[in-house]
Amino acid sequence: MTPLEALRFDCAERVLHGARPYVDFWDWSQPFAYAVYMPAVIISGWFKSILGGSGGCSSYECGRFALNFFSSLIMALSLAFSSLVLRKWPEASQSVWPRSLALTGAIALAALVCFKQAGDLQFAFVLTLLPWLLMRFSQNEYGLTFKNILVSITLLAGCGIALDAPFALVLIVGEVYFLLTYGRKAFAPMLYISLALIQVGQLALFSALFRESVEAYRTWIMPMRLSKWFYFDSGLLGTSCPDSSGFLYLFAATMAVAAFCCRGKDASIGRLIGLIATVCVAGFALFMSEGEGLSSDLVIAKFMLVVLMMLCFWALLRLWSPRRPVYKSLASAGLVGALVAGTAACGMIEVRSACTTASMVERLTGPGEQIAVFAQYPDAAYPLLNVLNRQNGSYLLWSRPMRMLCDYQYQQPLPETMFNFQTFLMNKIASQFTTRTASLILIERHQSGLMTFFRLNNALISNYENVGVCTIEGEPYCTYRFEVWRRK
Amino acid sequence: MNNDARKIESMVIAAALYLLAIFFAYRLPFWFSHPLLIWADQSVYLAMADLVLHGQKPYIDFFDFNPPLIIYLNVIPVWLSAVLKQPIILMFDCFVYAVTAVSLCLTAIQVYLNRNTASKSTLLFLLFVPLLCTQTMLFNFGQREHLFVLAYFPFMLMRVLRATEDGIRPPALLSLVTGLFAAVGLALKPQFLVTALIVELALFIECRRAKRGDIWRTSNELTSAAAFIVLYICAFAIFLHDGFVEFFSQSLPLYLHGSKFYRIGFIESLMSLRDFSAIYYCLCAALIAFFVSRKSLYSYIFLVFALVSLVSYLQAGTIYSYRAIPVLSGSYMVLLVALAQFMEKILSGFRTRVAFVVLLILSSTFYCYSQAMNCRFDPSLGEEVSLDLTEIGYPQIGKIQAVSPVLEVILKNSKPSDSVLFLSEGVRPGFPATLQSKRQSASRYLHGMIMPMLLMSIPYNRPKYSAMLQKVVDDYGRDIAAQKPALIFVDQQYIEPLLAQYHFISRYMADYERLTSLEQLRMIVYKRKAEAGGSAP
Repeated sequence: MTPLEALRFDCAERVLHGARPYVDFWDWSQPFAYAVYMPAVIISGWFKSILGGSGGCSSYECGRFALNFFSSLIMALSLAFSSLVLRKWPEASQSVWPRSLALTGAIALAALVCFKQAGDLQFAFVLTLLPWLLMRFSQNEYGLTFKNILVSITLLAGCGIALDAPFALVLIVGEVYFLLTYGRKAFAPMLYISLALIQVGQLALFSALFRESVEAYRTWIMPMRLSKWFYFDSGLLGTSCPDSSGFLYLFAATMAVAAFCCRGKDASIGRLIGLIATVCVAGFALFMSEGEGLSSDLVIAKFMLVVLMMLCFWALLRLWSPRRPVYKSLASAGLVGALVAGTAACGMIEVRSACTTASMVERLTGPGEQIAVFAQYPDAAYPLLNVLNRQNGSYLLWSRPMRMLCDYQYQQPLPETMFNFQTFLMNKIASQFTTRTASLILIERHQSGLMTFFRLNNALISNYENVGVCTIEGEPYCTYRFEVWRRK
Repeated sequence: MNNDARKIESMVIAAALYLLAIFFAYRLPFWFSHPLLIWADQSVYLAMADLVLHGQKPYIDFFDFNPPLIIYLNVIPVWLSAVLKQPIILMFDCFVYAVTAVSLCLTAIQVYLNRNTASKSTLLFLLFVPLLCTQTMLFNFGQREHLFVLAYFPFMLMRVLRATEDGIRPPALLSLVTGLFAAVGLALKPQFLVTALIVELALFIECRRAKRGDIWRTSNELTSAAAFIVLYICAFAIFLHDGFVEFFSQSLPLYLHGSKFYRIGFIESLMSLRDFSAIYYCLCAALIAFFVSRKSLYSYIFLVFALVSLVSYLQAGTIYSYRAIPVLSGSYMVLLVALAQFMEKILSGFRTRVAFVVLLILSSTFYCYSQAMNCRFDPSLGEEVSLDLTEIGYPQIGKIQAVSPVLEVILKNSKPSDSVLFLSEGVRPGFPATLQSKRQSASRYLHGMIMPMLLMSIPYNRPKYSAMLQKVVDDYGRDIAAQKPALIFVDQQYIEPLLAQYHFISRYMADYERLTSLEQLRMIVYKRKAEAGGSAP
């Protein structure tokens, strides 16, 4: 599991066990994100009852299988819908079957390249977005209608947008492209209303189920999420990981080639390349706006870039060898595909150097015990806690708000809602320290000063003792260093 | 041409000339009211140019690791300053404006020649690229990347026009001059040449596809640019032979290894608040290029230019924001092409166009006027300080901005004939303070980049770079003994611990006493003792 997968899996599990999001635990994902992970949690439960009973499968492994199973299901759904759309392309457009096949292959390849982040929200979103984009392209380019699958694709895209608020911007960029390219005929009010209704529906359902969480989300989570767009973590200065420069070089080269291909004689493929390039740029802009350089933020851009590369390759082949038999083109495309897939497979092999946290946690606590991790990113705690079969014993599943609240106060007094949140948060943390809920507390280097700033030091020192330091490797700091505090 | 079309043409030419004039002039009052405003790199090359004018040889008599053209280019403002008896910084500002004017003229002539082609609206908007590049600069005004973009843009436009179907072939003289002008920019740094070569490759592929293969056969601009670059390299090798050998054997390897000291992480170079606007502009440009101008050759070539520059910027991965200037400029070009196409679509009919031009003139006049009126204070330059600069030849102007604490210390504790020495880890804070105060640098190492770079290089070749570091420390010691600088500034963070290993202060600075420390800059200031010939407080 990736850190964010493991975190949301944990959140979904808590919600299924009756916890209220944002009130009983803190994470700033959209409520719908937890709903998406719930099927995986349920499937994981089934796996556990089938496999775990024989002692062959841990909770973590069952969860991982379930997530991969669920991700593969979404992937298959996306591919199926994309293929159904592509199948309807008219015969008049040249060599329709190899093009459809190549595009489906490109989508599958892109999914494979990004499969390392298979359970992350961006991956799920991009899979739901693609059938929508292809459908809208086919509607505008070839005037096709999709009576049977229109509702399913719209529903899928609507669910995709609901996963995270900024995702809507990517879809909007795609729609702007259609409007600017095809004019008024591209305007589809009914589809837009349907998408909006899906958002309203899921929010209404959430409000009905978790009344207190809605208020907490509105007053605490949303302002903090919005302010995060203008916040740069100074701890990132001087770090060299993760280094996605290789992606960016490829991005620049592919964009240049895409700009060239857009000007080709085959206007139809030029417009499709333009569309995918536009969405790829929007995905990269999203990565930039997140401002953390995490691999999980790069999935949309990476996915679209692979599709774009394949499309450009196809367009170039047609340009330079128009008379070449189709199977040769397909074979060449296959070769490039194999190369990309090979590169992706190499990237999936994880090389981790030894970290001392796991051994420290295993030495000082037993399975099922609670551990509180104060770190700027969830990567420090997840999936480590799941692997070690320990519980996250803090209201803050990851403690970004502490740093943000502290930084905001250097400039000006906090707004009332944020101040209220801070008061609630500090009381909650102090009471957790006093009641000694967690057996072990790990405080990351970038967070340790905050205990003094928020006057939590007394509660910490009176109930816990410092027993040393440990490290763990992960994004985006490369190495996290922790102070380890054990319950007295 | 019918009557309406003629009227529109005359109106557009008049409006364009008026707009060019006001956009060219509106920032001049700002530079004149900030006579000390210059940044580190620009000022150190002016100081090096001054040394060249006094007969010293680059890489031999003073150290640097950049190709020499920028030093020789800066000889022009330094020489003008000496002839016209004006402050060097002011002459440098005028020089950059002169380069902008040349770039603008070369662009304007091409736009005028192609005024009846299909892409005339696009060209009209592109006319403003040189001005946009210059007038949006503050900290990087006159940097090598800025000069490169100014010099290369008319050339790139000419190349694109040659590749278009209806582009007018430029007169031989114009293409020769454009080629020479571009060559000066291209020769400033090797990566500029690589960028231009990739742009040429993109044009080559485009011409192959469109079956227009003759843009290389009769291209005077290409010939003159290539000839200049070859001549420049030959002149460097022949007339500055010792420097040439020193540059390739010592400076360049040191730079390749040692510049890692100034490298930053990928995330920082992409997203730190200072630099990321250029990347956003580039993304916007790419987005809008695919939205609006997918079919435009201009858009395609300028996008290639911006993307290649982006790769170059990221590959360097250093803390210097000026490296993103070509990315920003390329993005401006793409955005202007898209804007032109958009305007052409929405502005149809004589009256609409007249209304638009009138509105544009009024709003631009208002903007330029208000900017010129409020030019004295720029919040990004810090607080105003009262300094008497008449002693060093500036006119008395009351309170001024952009004064570093280093400059104040130098002015208070030394005479104009004195020299000062900076043992720091970069070009700053020694420059621009040394140039602003009209003092001389007391060492052949005008900036302090060499020591941290040597430290970074040692693991690659321990015997060579350790010996070099020892030599640099000895050179500094000899320079102190020979030049007797009035003030010595020592960086506390990196340099002081390094010099302590060589017992530098006890060996070479016995005649100096601690004057003060500049906490913000982490520097200690030493002053020459009065009994050793230092000036009285």
